Amino acid sequence: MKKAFLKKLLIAFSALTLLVYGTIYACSDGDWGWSFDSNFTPETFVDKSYSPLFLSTDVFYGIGYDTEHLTRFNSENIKDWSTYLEGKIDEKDLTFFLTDSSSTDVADLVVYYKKGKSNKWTDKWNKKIKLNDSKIKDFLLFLNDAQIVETYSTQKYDSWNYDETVKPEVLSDLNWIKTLEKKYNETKDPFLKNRYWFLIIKANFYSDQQINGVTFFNQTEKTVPKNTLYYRALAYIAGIEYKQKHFAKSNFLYSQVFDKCPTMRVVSAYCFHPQEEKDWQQSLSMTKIKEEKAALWAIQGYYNDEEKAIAEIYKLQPKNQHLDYLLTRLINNQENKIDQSFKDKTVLENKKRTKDSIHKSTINLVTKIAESDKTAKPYLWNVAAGYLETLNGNFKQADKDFDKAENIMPKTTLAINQVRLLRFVNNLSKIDQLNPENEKTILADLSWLYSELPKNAIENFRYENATAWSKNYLAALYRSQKNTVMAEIFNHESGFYDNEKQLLAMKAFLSKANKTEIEKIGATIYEIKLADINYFQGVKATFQNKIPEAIAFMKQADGLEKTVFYGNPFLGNIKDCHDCDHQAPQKKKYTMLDFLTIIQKMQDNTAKQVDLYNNNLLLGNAFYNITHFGNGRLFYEGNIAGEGSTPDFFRDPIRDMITNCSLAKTYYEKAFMATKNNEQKAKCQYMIAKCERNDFYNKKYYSLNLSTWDIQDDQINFIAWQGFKNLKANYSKTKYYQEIINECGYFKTYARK
Amino acid sequence: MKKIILFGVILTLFISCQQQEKPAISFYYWKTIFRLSPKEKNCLITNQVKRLYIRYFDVDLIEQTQMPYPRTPIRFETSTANFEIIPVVYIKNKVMLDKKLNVLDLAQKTNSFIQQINSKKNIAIQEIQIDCDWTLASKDNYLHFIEAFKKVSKKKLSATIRLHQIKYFKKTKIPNVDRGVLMYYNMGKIATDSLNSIYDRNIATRYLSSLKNYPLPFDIALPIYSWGIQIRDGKIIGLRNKIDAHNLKNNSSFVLTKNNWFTITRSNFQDGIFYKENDQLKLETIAANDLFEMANDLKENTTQNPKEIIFYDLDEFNLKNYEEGLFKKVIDCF
Repeated sequence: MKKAFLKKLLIAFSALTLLVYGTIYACSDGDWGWSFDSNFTPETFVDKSYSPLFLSTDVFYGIGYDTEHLTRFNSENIKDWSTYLEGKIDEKDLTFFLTDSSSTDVADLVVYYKKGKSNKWTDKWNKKIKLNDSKIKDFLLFLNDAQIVETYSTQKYDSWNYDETVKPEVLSDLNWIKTLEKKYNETKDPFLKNRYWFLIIKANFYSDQQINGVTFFNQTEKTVPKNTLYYRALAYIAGIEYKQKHFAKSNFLYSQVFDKCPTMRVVSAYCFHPQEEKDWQQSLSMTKIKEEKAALWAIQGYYNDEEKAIAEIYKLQPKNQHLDYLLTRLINNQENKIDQSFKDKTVLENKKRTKDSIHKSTINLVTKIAESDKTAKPYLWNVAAGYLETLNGNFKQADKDFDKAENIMPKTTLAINQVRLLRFVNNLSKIDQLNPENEKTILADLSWLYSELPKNAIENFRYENATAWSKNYLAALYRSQKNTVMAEIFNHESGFYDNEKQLLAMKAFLSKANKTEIEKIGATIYEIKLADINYFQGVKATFQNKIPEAIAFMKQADGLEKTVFYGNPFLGNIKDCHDCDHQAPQKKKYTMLDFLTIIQKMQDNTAKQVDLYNNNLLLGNAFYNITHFGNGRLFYEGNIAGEGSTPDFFRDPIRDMITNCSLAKTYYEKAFMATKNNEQKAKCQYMIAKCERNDFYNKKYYSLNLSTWDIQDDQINFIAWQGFKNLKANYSKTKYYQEIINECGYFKTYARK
Repeated sequence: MKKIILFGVILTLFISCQQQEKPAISFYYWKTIFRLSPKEKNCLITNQVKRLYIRYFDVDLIEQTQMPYPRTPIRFETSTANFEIIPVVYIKNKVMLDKKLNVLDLAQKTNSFIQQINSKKNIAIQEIQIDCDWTLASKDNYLHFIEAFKKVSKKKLSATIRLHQIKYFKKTKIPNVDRGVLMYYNMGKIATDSLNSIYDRNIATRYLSSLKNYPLPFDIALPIYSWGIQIRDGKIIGLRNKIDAHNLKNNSSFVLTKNNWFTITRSNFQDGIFYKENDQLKLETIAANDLFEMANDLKENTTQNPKEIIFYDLDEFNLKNYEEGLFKKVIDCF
């Protein structure tokens, strides 16, 4: 496997790599860190070049890690050369030369320039470009040199080849670098001269005498225009200084790259790395002008202390644009400290907790800067200050801040929505007790948040947190106002329907026609529908053996009653294997309603004393199959009861209901009473034994909520149920007994004891 | 009569102690460049260390392709002559979690990479150790890998075993290796509480009684490392290796607030890490007494003495926390 080998990074961060390695290894894939509970979208007002630097749990926001080592300057290079060549090479070919595998073509064209002899490449290219044009010739000669350096800068290696991994190749022919210097000195054309200047520094960086690069840079720096190439070169110099352990200098240079070359912000932010406090202080002392000092604080703020960075930069240059991205990090960091879970807290307790978790110094700094109106984007500061005031409980001040922002901000979609969202958070936060008056202040926004926004995605807009938060907030309000139904509507509790009174109250609420506006919104977003409740009631009635009631509920389940069983729910096999039953050929498929209707019919028959053995046996099977142990688990699964493959997936009342086989057992016992021969008796005894076995598991494990591991570790491996004893003692001569011996190893073990 | 019985008991105990051979002292070497400092060399000599367990490389996944690769392979700057070298390969569990992992291919590549390192440095090896914190989800791949690696390498194999893997071995299974090494550290959760995640006797005792039932013979690895947990606003923001408490005590930006806890009073950079005002740094260390306690508990709960006690890890920084001769005293507990 080939892997791009970025020697530059390797050289610049060998020390860093070791350290990071140590840390990450020790963390062993730990997953602490920040999560994003955010109402504040950093993209709203901040320039795009900063976006990887927004607060993130990854190294870089949005991109995870830097992936553009080899491609970052491709388009700029093509554009620059295209201008220089005045269109003499079309863009497609130029792209090929500059970014594709063109080195063989270029090397052979250079042979042609040097020896004058045509070759197959000259024939190929002569058709497309004028090889003897001086600009084209200069371009290709330069490109050949650049590609030689590239063989060192873009080395690929086989990561499973030890020699290659530990020994990256470096440029050792210093005389060749001298020839580049000669070309640089002799070139008159400023464009070409600038390119050669950059190439010399790059070549030195990848050489075994990196320090020569610094010497050359110092000698020539003043004559060079401060363009992208200059800052790219400066980043190489910073890397060399780092390797020399001149950390203060290195960090200072990276900060300048960060400041002046937006394309390299990711690189410079990643490379900036003070070792000791004195390095940092020395870097600060290297700055000559305010702008340089502000740049250092701006890059330092990315890793560490945004608040301090903002305060320092603001003192130096209130209009400095780095302030914007630092502010978004500061706000996002503050948001992340808030515990938004509500847990069992009231809104008042929750607001106090939020207020306490926000740093007062942060609020003071942001409001001070917002009030000053001295920044380049005062609306950004007003929005941020308003949001902090909301979190701090000063809702009126927040309103004023948002008003101020809205008056002056650019009216982009994101900006408009961002302010609307924060205003909503502020408005809802004002409410300590819901009443018809204050409800009106949030109704439109609730519909917007819950219904409109999910349908019309706005790129990057962070609104999901407000959705979850507002539901919790409203639920907490309703809880304190003793409105259990509306509390449940906004915050569904799984056990809500285990309380019959609550269940009926919810049914009444969902059925009523004259809902208020907020009730309408709640009913729309509530995940459980009337049909789910009816179905759940039908299931419960079935387990209580109230079949007519169950049928009546099921008929109101809005189609859920038409769900089809995977297997035949009236089967009663020796082995409990629902997969086998599901795959077995089935002439007739049964819906939930069919199932109940047939039960009803059989119960009618037993009441009339018709075919008691068969009817009772099938009723036993039916009630057995809808337990956890049977082939028809689908029957009880649903939005309210829940679903899962083991009983511990279910809450206690549901678990007790679905693991209880006593109803089935009663029918098997009735069937036993009606048996006419030993075969039938053996069958009933075995079925009763299955119920006894299940009961043992219920009492021993499921009702105690033991983990799978504890169950596995239990030494108990054999128990003889009463049904087994009866079988062995009385029916060992039956055919069914032999069938059990053949199919059930467990019973076989017992029988042979 | 009573005295005679007592004497008899003591004599039996004495003889039985004598019959158990003392374990040898070994070390893990876990840095990426093998370069022994004079102090590290001295430690190896005075403790008559014959075997060194050197981390050769990690196996990790390439972020973009999700293919396994050898991460930070070892480089040698000091000769390894005079020691028997046991290469250790740390395989990240996420490598084994990949359901489509080509186990045989990885075994071949891992073996070949070890061979390349050995031939480059003329190192002859008898044994290879695999270190992987495998889980139930990665168990199948891991066990297959060990099988494949055994065949491919044709060497003696050992594997590190965590405490829970010993207690629940029926569930986690036992890798098919010649012996295990019980990692008697990293027991707890790295957390902001007052407990020590490296070693916690309360946690250890939950597992100790299981040791006797483990079917695989094992040696024991004991910790001599320490680290700091940096905490900001009640959340862990990172683990800091090689934190020198002595230096912190002499640094006015760090104030000792309780045992092994520092509060940062002024933002500053230290060893490449930024400590922000009001951050906290919780140091987790292993004292000599902890090592004795571990040794005694382990002695009591194992039927056979381990052949080796491997200390993790050989580093001048770790060694300076312990008096000379301590390692021998720890071994004497067995």
